[in-house]
Amino acid sequence: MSVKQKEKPILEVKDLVAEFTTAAGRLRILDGIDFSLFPAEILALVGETGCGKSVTAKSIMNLLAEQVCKRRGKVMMDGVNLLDLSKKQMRSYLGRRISMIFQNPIASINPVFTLGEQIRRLVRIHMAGEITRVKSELGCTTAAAIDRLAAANLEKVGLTDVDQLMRAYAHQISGGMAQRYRIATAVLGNPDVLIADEATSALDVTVQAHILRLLKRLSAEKNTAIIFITHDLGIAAQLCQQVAVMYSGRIVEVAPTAELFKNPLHPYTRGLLKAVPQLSRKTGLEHIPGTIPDLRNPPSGCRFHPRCRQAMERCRRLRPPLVETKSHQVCCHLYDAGNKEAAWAKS
Amino acid sequence: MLPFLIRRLAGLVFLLLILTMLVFGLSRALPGDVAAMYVGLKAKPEQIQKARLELGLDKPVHVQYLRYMGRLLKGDLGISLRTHRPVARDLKEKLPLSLEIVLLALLISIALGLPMGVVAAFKRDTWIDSAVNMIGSAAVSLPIFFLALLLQLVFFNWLGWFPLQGRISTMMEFRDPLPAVTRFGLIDALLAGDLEYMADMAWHMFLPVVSLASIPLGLVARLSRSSLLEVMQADYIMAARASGVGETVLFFRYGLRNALSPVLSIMGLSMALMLLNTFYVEQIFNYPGIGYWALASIFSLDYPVLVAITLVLGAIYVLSNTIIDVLRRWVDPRIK
Amino acid sequence: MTMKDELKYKHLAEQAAREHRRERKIRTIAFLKRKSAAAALLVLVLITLAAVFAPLVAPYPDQGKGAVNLGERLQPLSGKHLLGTDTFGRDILSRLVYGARVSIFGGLFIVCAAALIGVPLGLWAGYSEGAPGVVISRIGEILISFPAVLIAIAITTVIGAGLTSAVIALIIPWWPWYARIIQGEVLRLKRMLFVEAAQMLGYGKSYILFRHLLPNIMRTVMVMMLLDFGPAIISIGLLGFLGLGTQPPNADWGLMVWEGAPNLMQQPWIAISPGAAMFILVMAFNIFGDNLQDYLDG
Repeated sequence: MSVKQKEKPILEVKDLVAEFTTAAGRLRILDGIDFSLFPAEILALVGETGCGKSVTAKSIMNLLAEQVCKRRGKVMMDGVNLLDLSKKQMRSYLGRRISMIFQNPIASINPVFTLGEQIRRLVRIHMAGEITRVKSELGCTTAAAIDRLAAANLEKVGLTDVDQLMRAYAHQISGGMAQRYRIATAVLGNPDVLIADEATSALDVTVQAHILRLLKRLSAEKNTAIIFITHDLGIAAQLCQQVAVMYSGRIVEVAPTAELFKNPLHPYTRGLLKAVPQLSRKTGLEHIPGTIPDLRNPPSGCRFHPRCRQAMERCRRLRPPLVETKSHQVCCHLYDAGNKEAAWAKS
Repeated sequence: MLPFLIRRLAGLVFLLLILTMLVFGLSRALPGDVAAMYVGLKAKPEQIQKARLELGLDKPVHVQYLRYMGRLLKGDLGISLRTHRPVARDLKEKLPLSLEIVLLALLISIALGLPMGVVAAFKRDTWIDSAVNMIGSAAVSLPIFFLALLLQLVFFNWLGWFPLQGRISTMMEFRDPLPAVTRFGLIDALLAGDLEYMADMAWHMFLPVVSLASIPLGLVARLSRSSLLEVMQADYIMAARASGVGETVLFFRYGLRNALSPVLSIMGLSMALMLLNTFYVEQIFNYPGIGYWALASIFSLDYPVLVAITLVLGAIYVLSNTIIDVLRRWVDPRIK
Repeated sequence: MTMKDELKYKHLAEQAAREHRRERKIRTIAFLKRKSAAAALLVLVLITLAAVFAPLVAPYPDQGKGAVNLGERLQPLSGKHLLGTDTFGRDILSRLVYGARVSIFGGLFIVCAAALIGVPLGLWAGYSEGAPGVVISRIGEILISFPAVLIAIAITTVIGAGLTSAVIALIIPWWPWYARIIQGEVLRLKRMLFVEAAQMLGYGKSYILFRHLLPNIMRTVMVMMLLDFGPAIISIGLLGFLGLGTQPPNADWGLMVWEGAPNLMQQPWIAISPGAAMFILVMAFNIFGDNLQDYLDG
């Protein structure tokens, strides 16, 4: 599976299920998510819009209203199942052990307070120890210490003119600056895990590159694992060591980046890769026929089977099991060792 | 800030000009002999003619208007056709009385309405939420004259807790009048140290103020609730929550500040609404304010008074909106 | 695209449309199931029916229309007169039923007229920026600050007091509200891409206005109108209270309250009944409108 197999994962998600109660009925948005995240690893969570990537992130962090979304399964962090924690208990984890940045950075900043006010509040919440240290070192007031720490954190993400920036408001800065700011606020508590939900999708390509570089650097420096949610395979390839492909509420394949691109196992992954335009290819773009399933009436068995060229009889009946090969983790009947049909259907 | 204020002032002047022209023109264009009204029913034709010349009614309308505006700039608002008293003097006496109850009503509507809306949003979908919603809807659905009469019936006739009408008890009237510092009765009484007088006035003002406050209370409660709920769905609230900010801080600091803007707007609107409602409330409670005066003047087509009142109401409307806009700017830096 | 693909996509589109309709039906049923909405709707229907069929519903139709009955003045609630009689001996319940006609149809007229004037003007002002927009804005601002009472008096002295002058007097400062909001909506929608796209494709101004902008705005307008009935009914009542609406001996709720005010303490039912009727009707409109808004948002 992963090169760092010897280490213990910092976050282990097992059979995470999320059911939403809506006017249209109970929708099983997440149908058993399985993956592991190792310290300082950058994992890409890739999938089409609507497959449940954001819901996965928000489920892990308990950001969804309890009346609307019921979660089941295991999200293990240091031996604690995060799903068992109440919202109040979870709060001590948020920002400190696990953190998140979002797609629209400017909308993620409170428009009526200055940037400085907001980051100072977070410094006060998460950096208590640091504040005391700076106070004793420099012999200054608490407020001054907080100011220094806030400024230092902003500089660490590559922002300049920090004093002016702290007096500014969200609508006065650019998207790139806003995302850097948001990253600064997210990592100042030194979290073990950072989830980036489509963090670069709303930015220009050049700015994207900067942010990706920043994330890579921070991950190495602070030993922070990152789950990078995106629909862009290219970015996944650039930034991440492992890629997890998601389809309609399940993670269908996990593999190291190079391995996934070279040897995709799941039919959906193969379809995705074939749909990416490449200059070297002479043939036209292929697309995966059909559309993503309507979750009010999801397909039986494997949710991908209606669109799968290699679908077998049992794909319609049984939910595919999690299969681990030496390099991959894949959810498909094709690779199920106990499946006699698989032997000759594998291609 | 300054250019904004100057623009507002210019707008105010423009509005007032148009208003005065309209009211002036309207009251002059209507059938009815102004001079005859001035002199009275039993007047002889020569008297009417004399009055006509005196009032300058023989001149063309635009000349009359210009003369009026000229006098206006000197502070002379003319003579009331009905009471033959200088309009400016009556205005000075009656305007503060109405402003007093209107401002008190505004204060109460915010002091009660805002917490109601906030609590309803905090405890959404509970019985508190439904109760606030019901009260808010009811407050907005009650016609003001009905509420005023109802309050009189219940609190005066049945319970005897509050007086029927007027501003001060007849016994108090025999006292020496208060030194007029602000012309706001309650404040003047406080300054003069006459607490008994103040209590008596407050006792009289209670029912009128409650009547006036009902509609803004309903509006503020409902609006602050819906505004707050909408704000709590915003991205930045979720982002702050994901960064570990506590639920109470999130609600009362992060959320509330963003939700205030529409509430402030509705307060500006309420000001105009309440000023118009004083017409009815003062009539029913026999309260000698500007509303009572305005109604009498409207029915007697007392045009100097009408123009003056329209000017004053228009000015108050724009001024209060300007104050509201300044407040909104302070609360939300996005507004330019 | 081959024939087979075309048919397949058509089939998918039809399927989607069917599902959309089914979803709407589910939501409508859920909406009607809500107790407050159903109760409010019931009240509205009952009162409207009573108003329409007044001669049949009112126990004493002549008294409802104004005929006096001096033998039975100031009677309290009884079996013969369910809500008592007024200073002229007229049955209050009958007067309420006839008064409902004024309130409901007057209110309806005001709201519809204000919308019919305000919405097109707002559309035009919003779409063609520049001079027309500013002019309509300014006129609207001035009209809004005008107390309707003043306008009512003016019209009254010219054409005489009555429901007509009251309604006209209310429509004049009423339509700017619609114009302003529609103007704002149009300005907002104009910036959206689908309008730019239509413009680029070469569609004319009026085509874009009616085919694209109007349907989007319709929903807003409908809710605005529904929530506006309450204030309209109250406004008619306010003018009626001052004697500027329907004239006696006709029945008008506002007028009835004024007629009952002098006897408030001894015979409270005379003034309370019409006031309470107004309150109930307006409350029903507001509750129904709120629920409708939730339904449309959800």
